[in-house]
Amino acid sequence: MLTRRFLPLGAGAVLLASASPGLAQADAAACDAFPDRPITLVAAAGPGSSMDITSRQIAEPLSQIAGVTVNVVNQAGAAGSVGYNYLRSQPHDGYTIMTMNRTLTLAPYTSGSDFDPEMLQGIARSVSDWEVLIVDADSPWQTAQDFVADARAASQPTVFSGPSVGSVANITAFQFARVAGFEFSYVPSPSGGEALLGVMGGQIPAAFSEPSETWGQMQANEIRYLGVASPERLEIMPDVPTLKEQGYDLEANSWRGFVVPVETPDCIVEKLDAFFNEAIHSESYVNAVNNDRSAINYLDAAAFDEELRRADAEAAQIARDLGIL
Amino acid sequence: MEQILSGFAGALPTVFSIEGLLVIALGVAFGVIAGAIPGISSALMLTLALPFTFDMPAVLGLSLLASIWTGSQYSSSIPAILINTPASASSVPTTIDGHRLHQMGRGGEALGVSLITGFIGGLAATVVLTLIVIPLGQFALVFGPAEYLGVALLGLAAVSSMADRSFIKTILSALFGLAIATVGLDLFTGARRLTFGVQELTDGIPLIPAIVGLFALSEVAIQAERLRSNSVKASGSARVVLPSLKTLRWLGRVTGLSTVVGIIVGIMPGAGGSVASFVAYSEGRRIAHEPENFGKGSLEGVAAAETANNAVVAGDLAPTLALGVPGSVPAAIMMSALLVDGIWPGPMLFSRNPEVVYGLFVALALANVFMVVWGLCVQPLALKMASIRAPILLPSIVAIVLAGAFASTGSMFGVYVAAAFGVVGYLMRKFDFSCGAAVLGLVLGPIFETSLRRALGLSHGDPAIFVTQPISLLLILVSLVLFSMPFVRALRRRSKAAEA
Repeated sequence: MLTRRFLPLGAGAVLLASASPGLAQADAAACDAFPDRPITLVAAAGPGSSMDITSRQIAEPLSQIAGVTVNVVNQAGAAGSVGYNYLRSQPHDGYTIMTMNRTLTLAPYTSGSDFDPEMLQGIARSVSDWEVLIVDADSPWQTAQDFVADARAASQPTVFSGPSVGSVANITAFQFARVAGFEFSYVPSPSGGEALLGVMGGQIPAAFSEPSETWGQMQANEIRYLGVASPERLEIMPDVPTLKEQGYDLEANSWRGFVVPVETPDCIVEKLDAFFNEAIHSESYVNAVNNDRSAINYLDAAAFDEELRRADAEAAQIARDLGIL
Repeated sequence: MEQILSGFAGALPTVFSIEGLLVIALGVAFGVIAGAIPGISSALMLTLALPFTFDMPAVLGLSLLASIWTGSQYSSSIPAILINTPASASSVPTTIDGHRLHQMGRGGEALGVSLITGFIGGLAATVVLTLIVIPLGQFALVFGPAEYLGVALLGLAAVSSMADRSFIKTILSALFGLAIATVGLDLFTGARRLTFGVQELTDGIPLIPAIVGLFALSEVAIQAERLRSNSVKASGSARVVLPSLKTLRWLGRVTGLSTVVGIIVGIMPGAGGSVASFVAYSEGRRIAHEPENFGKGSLEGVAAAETANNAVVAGDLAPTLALGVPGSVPAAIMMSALLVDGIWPGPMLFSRNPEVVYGLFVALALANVFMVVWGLCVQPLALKMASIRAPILLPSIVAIVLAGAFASTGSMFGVYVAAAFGVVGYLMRKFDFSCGAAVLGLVLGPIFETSLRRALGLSHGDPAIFVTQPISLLLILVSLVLFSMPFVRALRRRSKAAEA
């Protein structure tokens, strides 16, 4: 079952097959042979970014499973547009795959990027990073309720920081302020690291972050996690309560996954689906993800493809709420 | 102290093994060679090397990355001096004096000074890092947006050191740089500013192609003109001259200050080598023996910039190791190499894995030594290359720098930007505007704007935030003094003339 968008295409293929058997045979041959040359994994961000690291972590197990070299190529820029357009410009034959994250689904609405999930076919989602509410360890707040009580009483809006406007951290802060009922303002930092330093240095009251970015500081008691925006407590930190159990109905995470152009033949998508399933559950990838304090949150091709569409609709709604659109 | 000693004891056997020394030597060699090519950033080099670290012990993996970084920080000065093309933004100030020296036939001296002062800056910063890494890292927490604004202003004050002929034209050049720095995605609203629908401009004017155009292509055009009028002389010295002890002592003032500037700017996340070398160049002139020579071929100018951008590496590592917050992309890549081994940087690193931290420090010191060795091997070759006859050399430069511009953006866009800035740079130089000041504006503009808006965001719009904190107040006052110096000097000259 590869989503209903593939039905017309599939039907077309059947028609074509009856009309010109030669072409179908060529297609079938391409499918059987796939992959017989190196696969390119496009990271839509620069070296050292989370998409880049995910790409490099999956490249090795993927190449072992697929039996061909997997090259990681960085196509950074324009809020993911560069990577997206690069993927679209390559032959739709499964040899070029893009690594993406949730921010890319927000970008068309928040910064006018070219990203269009309708032109993509999901292959797999690999991991999710749940958002955590962080404050300075020296702050008086021990729980999310303490924090919200002060934020509600404050005469000025409470400042949150994180990466650029339209980032997952920004949107989560917006949703949290709305659910908890306080005034907030967002002051972006050039990078998540600088927002973290601002919180640790006491210049910025609070931020939303991910365990993969702030685990070390939390362990070292430099910052405090007031709550995690997950449906239930996370295995890696059973002592940190969810925002939900503290009375704030909020779920937010940042995920990473893999996509190909929508025109990619079904049989190749099926093969990639199986490759990625195995690679994501391989020992080396799982270890890398655990070391990052991220969490495997696998979806197969069909489910991830649906999730992409859902994320798009959600992003449009968020942009309307935020007043960006 | 005890911790330091036991850390060293645990680390020395690994670092001083055959593998350890080989890793450092090869890492530096790779850094030096790739770093001399415009367009190949240290972030790219470290990413390429990252997979090799996965199968190494953590200490060696980090040593490899730190060695590459060290080598690349140094070698961007080679093309800056010889062909007026800084391989990265951190060597732009080096170009100003270094290339002038080369034209005066003293390129060998400039190369020698850049190598040795870079070594001194890198080594001294490593020693400081080893002794006080935790307090140094904590220092990063003091820097809020208001302090960033102060540092950006201090860097911008470097325009007063760049004014060669016309102060007004230099200021205008810096303003041009600041203006084009506003192109691109607005961090605060997500709006696309001045991109005119060009997707590639969303991330702003790419720095390396702009530098390549402003410096290298304009230089080639001007040289080619001289070629036609047959007035070109074979410039450049035949060999590399290392500075004597006497020269080094004379450079000591500038080198010392630049080391401090390099460490402090390195600690500030997001600032890095380019800001450090601009600030050091501007501050260096203030305390130099011969400030009047800055911009006209001063060895002190070369030393100021090159010491600082090598000291940055150690400074950058302080918050990475002590707080677990990487201050730059190379530092972030080093952090991810640690994470692969399940080691989290941060305060606990020092009690849990002291051998990793102190092993890295030893490797960093060794990398600086190897940097001198490889530098001495590469420099004579580079010098020879630069003295090839102009009709052959000039087209080769164009080919190399355009390839670099292509590599830095991964598309033809970089080449177009380089070509456009080549024309701009040529015209600027013809009419005595300053390309260095334009790059200064382009580099510091985003930091200036972002910190201004962040500070005002945090203070809910109250500008008092800039003057109520001691560090930002001090930085702002110092930069105001620097800005006004040329005017004060001019006034004094006028009053003296009136008296006479």
